[in-house]
Amino acid sequence: MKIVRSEEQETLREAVRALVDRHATPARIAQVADAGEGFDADLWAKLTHELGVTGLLIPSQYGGAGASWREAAAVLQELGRTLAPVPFLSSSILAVTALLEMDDEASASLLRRISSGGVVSVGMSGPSGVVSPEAVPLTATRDAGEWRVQGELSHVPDGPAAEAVLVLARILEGDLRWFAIERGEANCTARRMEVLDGTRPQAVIAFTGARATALESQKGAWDVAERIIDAASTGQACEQQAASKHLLALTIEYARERFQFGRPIGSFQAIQHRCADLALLVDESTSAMEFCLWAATDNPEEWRLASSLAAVVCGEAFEAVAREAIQIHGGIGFSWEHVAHRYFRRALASKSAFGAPDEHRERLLRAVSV
Amino acid sequence: MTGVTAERARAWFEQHAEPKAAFGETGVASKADVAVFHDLHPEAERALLEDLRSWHQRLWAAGLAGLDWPREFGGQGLGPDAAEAVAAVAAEFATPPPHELFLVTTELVAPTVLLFGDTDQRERIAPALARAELLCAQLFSEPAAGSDLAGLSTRARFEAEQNVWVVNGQKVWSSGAQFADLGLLIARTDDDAVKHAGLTAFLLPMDLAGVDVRPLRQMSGGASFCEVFLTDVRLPGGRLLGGVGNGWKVATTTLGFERNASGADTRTGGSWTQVLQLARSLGRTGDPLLRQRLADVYIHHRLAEIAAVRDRAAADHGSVPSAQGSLRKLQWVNGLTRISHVVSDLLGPRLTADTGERGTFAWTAHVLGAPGYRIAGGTDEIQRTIIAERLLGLPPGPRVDRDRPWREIPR
Repeated sequence: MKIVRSEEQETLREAVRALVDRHATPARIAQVADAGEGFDADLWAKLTHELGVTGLLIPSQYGGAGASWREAAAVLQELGRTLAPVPFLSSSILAVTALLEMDDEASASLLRRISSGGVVSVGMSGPSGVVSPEAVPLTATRDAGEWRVQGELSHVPDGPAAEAVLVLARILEGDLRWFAIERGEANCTARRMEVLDGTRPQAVIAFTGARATALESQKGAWDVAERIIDAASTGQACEQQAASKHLLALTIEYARERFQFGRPIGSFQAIQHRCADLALLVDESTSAMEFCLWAATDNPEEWRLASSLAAVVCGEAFEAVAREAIQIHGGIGFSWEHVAHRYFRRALASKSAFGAPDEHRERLLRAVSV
Repeated sequence: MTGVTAERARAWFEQHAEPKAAFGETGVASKADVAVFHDLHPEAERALLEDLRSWHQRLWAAGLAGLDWPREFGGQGLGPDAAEAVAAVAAEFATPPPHELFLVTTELVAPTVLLFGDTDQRERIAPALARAELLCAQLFSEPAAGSDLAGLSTRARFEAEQNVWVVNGQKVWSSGAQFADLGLLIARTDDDAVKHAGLTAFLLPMDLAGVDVRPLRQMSGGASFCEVFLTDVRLPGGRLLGGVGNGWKVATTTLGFERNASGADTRTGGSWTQVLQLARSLGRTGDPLLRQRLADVYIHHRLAEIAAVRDRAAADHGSVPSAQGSLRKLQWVNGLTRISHVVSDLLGPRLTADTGERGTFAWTAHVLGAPGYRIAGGTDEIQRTIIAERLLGLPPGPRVDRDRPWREIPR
């Protein structure tokens, strides 16, 4: 394994950091999340037009930057650290990962739209949220040369803001296939779901014979779905690692300043030792994230293993850090006003967003042939 | 560069060592395969140590040991990368098993002497330690000074007219002291100074009159450690290391090497492969509850490897805080404990009585040894305090003994 730091990556990180520190302040995040929108269109426009990062992973012939996962990681970490409510993970990472596996004009056109800020989401699961070939909730039929999709998707990430959605559907012969559906199509209705993490909107999207464009890939449809899970876990690992690290730093700062019994609470062993354990969890998250990034860029054979390992390690570490951050902050940590609950919500929601940790433990064991 | 070293190592090992049997062929045959601390007859232990020593000296002669040891002191003067490249090759061959005293001598004491020694110690003693021609034990902990090492009370009193230090006191938990030529001794030379400032380090010949070494049996059954009684030991003046009053610095430097070494040691006490093999041999890899825990053992194993790569990359950029070793030791011990849990649940009654099935009851050596490393080399609690205060910058807890002369501290 190799740890790679490139100058491009650090320059990009600085640029995104400057932008989110100015525009994704805790007050702004609270405003966007509490209004029920969960989408900061202004920030998204700035990311698109000022920094041009929405097409980071997209090759230049489709209007993107043709960058690698290393650069994407820098963006994901900055957005994850601040809980910025933008559809970067769903559109610029997940949809792009799927579309880069396709070789047709419709996919090329969607990539161009993502490069210029269009939001495209990916839907693979029904109400249970389980992603598996057996649980695919949609069917597609061909009628007079046109594909029509039936069924109901749930938990579609950033679904309310998406202008198109990539879906996995079962066709008559029983095989799975990928389709793109425009949200403006007739027979396609979306409903915003009430969510645990107000910075990550989700939608139920129902199709009653909506017109769909079939996408062509060299790989099997389920292999593409697995790649999306790899990408989702890798992307979330970057977000979770950065959020955990930031939240632990905030908590340590508080423990240094908060006095009880005439001493800073951070001088009590009960607090010191808890923080030390959290620091180890954050360090392990960093290892897991680096493993993923290395696999994604240099060693694709291990990407599935690395992504599931990171889903377990980074997901559970973030939850632990967020839970203990509330505890160490005491009463103020339980208030709506304080940021701790927003991280706790993100931690819980992200932990199971693309497979729960127990499923990833299974996926990991299968990847090492156990 | 490392590629050349690895090639040279491979050529040498192919000629002088047998390839290691693939794990599936041997499995866990005995307690020694999974032990955290060895449990050997004294003669067998001496023989093991001799094997290890002569093997190390052959490697040294072939230019395959002492790779990151400075050239002017007889080493190869290469970076840690070369040492790792050789270690990676060595791991494919059957080589003598490790021993604490050998590791303490070559990994902890030798670099400490190189750092703090006078010209003679650096030129003569440090290289002999690095080559394991001399073996040196740590004489640090005492019955009344464990976690609070700086509170130790073994005294060294200087008799100027004879130029000797007279040492009295008792040391404990000294690994392999019964086989050591030297002891790195930390003793109190000033009762009136604050506790850290009154300490001095010495290199004590273990064969001096008044040095009484008694093996100490630990809960896992073996005697990996010793008690060392020091009664009116007359130590020649030139045996000081690092100057009077500098003992704490010497001790913490050695302990820093120890934490780094223990964090990197993946050979001690059960591996992922062994746990998986046990689960397979018991037909339990289909049990969904157990699979979750197996995954955690695998995850821990991978994270340890990745952490080593990260630390190396950070060291190349010159930015590894010393407290990082505490983080790694805690991580390593957590892994040992995790393996113990999974294995004891996997084995159930087979761990309580020997059924004669190969590779089952042997795991008692792991389960009974693992608690020792939550204590040895600095307890988990001490590591957490170091992480909190030095890595995270949390304010220190109150230390009532800090600014008082050692003489006045209640004990």
